[in-house]
Amino acid sequence: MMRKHWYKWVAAICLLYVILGGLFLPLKPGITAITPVKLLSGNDIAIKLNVYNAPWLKENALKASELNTQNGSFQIPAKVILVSKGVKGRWETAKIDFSGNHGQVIAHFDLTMGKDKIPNEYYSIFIELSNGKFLGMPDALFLERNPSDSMGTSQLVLKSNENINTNREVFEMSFPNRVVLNESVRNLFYHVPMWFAMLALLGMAAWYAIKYLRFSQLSDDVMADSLIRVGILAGILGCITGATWARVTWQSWWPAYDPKLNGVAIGMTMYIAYLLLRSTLSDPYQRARITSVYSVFIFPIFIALIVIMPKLSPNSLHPGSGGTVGFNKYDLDSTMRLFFYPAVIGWIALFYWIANLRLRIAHLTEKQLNE
Amino acid sequence: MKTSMSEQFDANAAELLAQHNLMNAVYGVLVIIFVGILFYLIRLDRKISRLEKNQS
Repeated sequence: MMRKHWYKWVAAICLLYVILGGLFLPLKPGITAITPVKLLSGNDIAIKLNVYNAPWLKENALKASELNTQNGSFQIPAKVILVSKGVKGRWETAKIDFSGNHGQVIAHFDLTMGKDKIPNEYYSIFIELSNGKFLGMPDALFLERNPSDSMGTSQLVLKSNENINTNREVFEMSFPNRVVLNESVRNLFYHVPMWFAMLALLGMAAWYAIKYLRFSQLSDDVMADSLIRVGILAGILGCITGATWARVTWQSWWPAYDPKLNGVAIGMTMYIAYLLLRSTLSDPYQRARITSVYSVFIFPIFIALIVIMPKLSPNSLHPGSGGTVGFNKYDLDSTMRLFFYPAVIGWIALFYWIANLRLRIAHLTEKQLNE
Repeated sequence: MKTSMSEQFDANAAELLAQHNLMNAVYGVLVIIFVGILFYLIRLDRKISRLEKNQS
């Protein structure tokens, strides 16, 4: 019983774990937005930071307010730092106000450049907490020299920036808080495995098609057909979930210049053509032979279109292609891995299960037709 | 004038980002997958019903 249905148990347990963990584990605190994004040098410059998932910031602020209340604004024990690759040293400030609504923080900087030759640069912004941890937003703002700011000395703090490490955990178990993605990073467990499931099922289908061409067993052909149909279901779900995700992060349902999307569109069309081809042939052996050859033929093309071509392309939005980083760099941290791999296994097992149901129905239908 | 306009734009963008909860995208994706699988299961269910009908 258990041995025969093992993959169903795998699907149920993995997906329960992935859905519960994926929804309820918190996101790491992070900076989600700053204003303004372009600054002119000078003294007393206020930068507004929206801080996400940082209840300790509020606690610190409340503690500080008991000690020091001034017109409803007060200082909290943290430092805000501006760091740039092109600049030696950093801008620092400990003058931070906590405005209370939406976790908004206002940092007051003295960004006087003075006579020093400091280039106009993009800066990353970090909040350094009293426990030595950092919250950051890379390349958050552009600092430009104010033409009137050419007297006196700069307020740049000459300190090494090597100890700034945002990867240190603030919560023990939490998902990374990425700019743009924010909470939707969890979709990695739901959107991406759709494609893994589709590839796995289509791969298995190609395997069964080869098996049919070698041994001419109709049951292999029926298996390949079921796997392809459920694979197409996974692909359609991957497209729709991807479009939903793209709408909120890339601001478009279908960014047409993304090679992965175009590859998928062509690939899906090839598999829909498979369905049409199959429906036009009535003799079971002829149908099996022709569609098997077709599906063995299109599987490698499909792989080339959705895996290889986007990797070669310089301008894909998807991770792992062109200028974007792949899974094994910093995109997938250790907590994400703990959920991503079970998600892939679980979703593949679930779709395989559905394909198996369809296979059994196909067998029964055939049996009835023969009687 | 130019800077004040861009500052205004930045403020609006930040406000929008603050209100924008991307958790809804996650719920949306889960609902789509659930509905899609359910749709396919209903189709399979119909096929089984047809088989049962033919058998009797």
